[in-house]
Amino acid sequence: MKGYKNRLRRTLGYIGMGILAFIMLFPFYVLCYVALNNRSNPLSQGVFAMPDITAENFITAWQRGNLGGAAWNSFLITAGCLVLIVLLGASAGYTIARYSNTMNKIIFSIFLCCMMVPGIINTVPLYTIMRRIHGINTHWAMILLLSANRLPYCVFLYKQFVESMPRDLEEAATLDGCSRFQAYWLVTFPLMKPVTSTVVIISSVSFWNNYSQAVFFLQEKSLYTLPLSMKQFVLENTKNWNSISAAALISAVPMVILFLCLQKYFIKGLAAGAVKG
Amino acid sequence: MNKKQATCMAAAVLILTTVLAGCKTTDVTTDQTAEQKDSQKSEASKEVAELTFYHRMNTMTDYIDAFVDKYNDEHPNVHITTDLQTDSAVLQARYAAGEDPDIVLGPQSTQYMVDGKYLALDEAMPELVESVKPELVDIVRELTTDHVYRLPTGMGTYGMFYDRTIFKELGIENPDTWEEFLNACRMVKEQKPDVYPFYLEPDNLGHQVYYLPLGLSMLDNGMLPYNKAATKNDQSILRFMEDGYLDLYAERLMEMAEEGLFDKEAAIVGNADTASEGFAQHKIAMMLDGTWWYGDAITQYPEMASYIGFMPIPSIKDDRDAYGSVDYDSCISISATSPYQEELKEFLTAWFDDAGKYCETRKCPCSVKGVEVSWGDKTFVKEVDDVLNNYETGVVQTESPNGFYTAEIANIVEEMLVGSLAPDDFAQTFTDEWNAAYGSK
Amino acid sequence: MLKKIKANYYKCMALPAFLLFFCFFIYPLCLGIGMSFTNWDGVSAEKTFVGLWNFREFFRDSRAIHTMLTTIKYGLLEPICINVVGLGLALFLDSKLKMTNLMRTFVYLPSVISALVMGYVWQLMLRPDGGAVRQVMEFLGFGAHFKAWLAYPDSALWIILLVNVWQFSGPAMVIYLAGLQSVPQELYEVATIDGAGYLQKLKCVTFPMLKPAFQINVITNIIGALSVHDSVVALTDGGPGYATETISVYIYRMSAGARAGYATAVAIILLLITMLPTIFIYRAMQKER
Repeated sequence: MKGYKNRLRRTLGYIGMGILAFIMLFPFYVLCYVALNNRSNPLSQGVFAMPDITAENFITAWQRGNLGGAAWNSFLITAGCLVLIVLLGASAGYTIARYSNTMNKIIFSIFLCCMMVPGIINTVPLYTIMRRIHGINTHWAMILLLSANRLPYCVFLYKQFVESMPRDLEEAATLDGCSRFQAYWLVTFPLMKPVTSTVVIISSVSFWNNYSQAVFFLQEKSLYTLPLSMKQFVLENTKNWNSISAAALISAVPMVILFLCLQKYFIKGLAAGAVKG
Repeated sequence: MNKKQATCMAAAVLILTTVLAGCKTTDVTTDQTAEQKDSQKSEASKEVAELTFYHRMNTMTDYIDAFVDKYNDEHPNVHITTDLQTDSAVLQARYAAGEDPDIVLGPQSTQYMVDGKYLALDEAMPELVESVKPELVDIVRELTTDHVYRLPTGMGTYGMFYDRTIFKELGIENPDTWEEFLNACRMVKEQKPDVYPFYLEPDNLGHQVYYLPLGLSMLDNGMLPYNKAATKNDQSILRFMEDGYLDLYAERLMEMAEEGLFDKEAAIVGNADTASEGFAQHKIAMMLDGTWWYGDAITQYPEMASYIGFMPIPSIKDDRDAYGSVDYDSCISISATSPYQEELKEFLTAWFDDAGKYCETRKCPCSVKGVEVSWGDKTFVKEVDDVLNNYETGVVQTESPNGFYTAEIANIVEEMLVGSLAPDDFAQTFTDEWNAAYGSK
Repeated sequence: MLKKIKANYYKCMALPAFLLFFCFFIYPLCLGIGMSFTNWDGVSAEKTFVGLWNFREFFRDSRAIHTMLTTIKYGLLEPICINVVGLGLALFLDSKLKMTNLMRTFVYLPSVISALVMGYVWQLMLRPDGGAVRQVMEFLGFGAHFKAWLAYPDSALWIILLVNVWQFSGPAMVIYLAGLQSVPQELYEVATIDGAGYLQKLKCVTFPMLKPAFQINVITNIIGALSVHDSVVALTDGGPGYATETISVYIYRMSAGARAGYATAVAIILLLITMLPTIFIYRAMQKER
């Protein structure tokens, strides 16, 4: 009797997963279908007719949209931002968790409150500030800006994690003659790998896909990131859904690959501490 | 100590590389200009003028990029970069920060013209202004200061596109009055149930309000006085509630909706794309739109050229004749605040020298006197000329306040179509939003 | 001297982060708040101080109030739906069936792509003429139920909700999975010994242990839902009419429509709306600890 119940549950489980997979992947199928289809086929014939397969759309998207250069720009900015938020966020989270004097408490509350602020309040004043520091059309200013926007969330995650870590190892290190900072850097920081990987994964998506800041501050075409190039491409090829779909697929590939590679660490990282009580 | 130093070094190197990578790209652009500068020093001791060319013509990017590249090659003392942005917020941010683009192709808002952002061409380049057809110059003239800040490259017109094959098949004659137009729709609906008798999509929902109700008011008052009143929000002439024909329009539109003569769903989720597709498959009988739609549609579906026709706009008021419109297309201005005035004037002359080629690509008639362009299918061009020659054509888009353009007007119409707004309140809502955009408190 | 700095540095390690944040976020925020008390149009050089006028304008405008109501409605529905679906998926995919890892990837995949792109894809799929959704429905036999949902004010908001739940259940699910995996097995074993069934175990063991995951998810989702912008623009552009115009879309339109001071004021109103539930939930959760 029990065996039958288990098998039934398993079959239902697989059916459920099949339906789920269909629901989640169908739009990607549509995207691929349109991207591979020849332009002269009107879209109204639906997505199940035999497509006139051509790689032309991908080539057009890559060349005309300058997606290669844009991907490189996106990569630089994302990498720079990740370095900044990990270094700054980890140290901030550590200090706030371990030494909650008034200053740190105030800083943390400010970080928390600002998480709720909609980014659009800042845009116009930021434009004036960026102009004054000659930061428009530079990568370093974008990196600083995007990192700043992401810091509260990072600091929050790091603080939660550090709070759940025992102090013993750090104390031991201090007794051995390290300064507090060395104790942090050499002992605690490596132990924060799980939450660092979580932060890296979640934040890279947000840096990579950033549009609302990049559109104002990166105006030269050679500096466009991937979302900007995508939008430009859509603008220049308004009715060419086939090329647009190809461009969208190309833009999505890097993030998909990143996620596939890091997903093991992602869940482990979250489990190990970001979500602990 | 070693480990610590090593980690610090590694981190420093990583940050340094990233920062350098960030600086690298900007260096590349400055390097290019330096190179150009060096090659210039041998020819002329002038520095290279860096000019920005801002435009919103997303369908003409190939032509514009090619033109600019050729111009850059032939004129080593200037370097023009094109910038396609259809997001008006970006342009606004640039002006707010003092970064005026040098060349602007596309809608020039009255506010920017009045603020003196653009060069007054009637003073600075009178011969160029002379070379453009006078009726077009009158349309683009800025009405409060009476200067010409922009010149059109081409001409556009607005009217009723129709499928000649369907008309011939059903024996429909070109409608001259609103009643005849409705009858034509009814005939199509009865005999061809899977064809849209009249097609509406969100883009032209807004445009229509300019031409159907406000257009009549413009004919009543004369185009220039009416537009002048519009830029000043002179309600004594505009009189939206009394003479704007807005409630008549709302009534007519809702009558058509109730009879099912156009598809309400398509009116909200369609776009210019679906309109082209519909015509390509003989699924649309009639549509009111501008020749700017025609050019793109023909490029995508060339077969359509042989059966798309053109008719004048039927008047929603019963005792009036149908009418047409003469409008500008692709207006270009040069900045008044740029230090490179000579270079910009040179560019503008070169632009208009090639105006014919622009119009051929754009598929519209040219604005320059004496330049004939073969811009479309022969029968279609003949029908357009018929309308322009035989009907009243003093209708253009009314000058709207900042932030109240076709998209916002389309929203009000959509509200009415889905029942959130009573047709009786349409005129009042329109007037209120218009006034709000002028900031009247 | 150097030694003193070195010794005390650890206390100030939060300062670099705070400094960066101050320059690029807090300072523009303050300038922005100042802007909301003017009637600047974003272009001209003059700014006149108008005090609380912009805020008063907002509450007098019926379109503005409608956006606020739409946003609040959406801001309540979306977190609920995402959390229910995310939790359900986490429970479903926590089993030891073979393909669970692959399925988790599939569920998380849409969130990696920008909301704007996905919105356009869904809009393409929901077309009445030859849209993929209609085709699938006809294939499965209930094609007659197809409507152009995006064309009607009532259903348009639900479509936006659906697309967002589809796209962002993944991150919620992952956080719940992490929470589920950190529940010690002994608790379940003790519960089974005590005779608890599946649902009871769920209620008494799983849910209490998931509180931190729940907190993070709900807070992030509320903030995200109240400021939703890209999805709306891609799917309906605020339409039909103003039916699905959320506050973010309204703000963007106002700032593009030469009312920059007013737009900033509305953004501050949005901030206040966001703060209320967030602070409430955060406090409630902290107390339980």
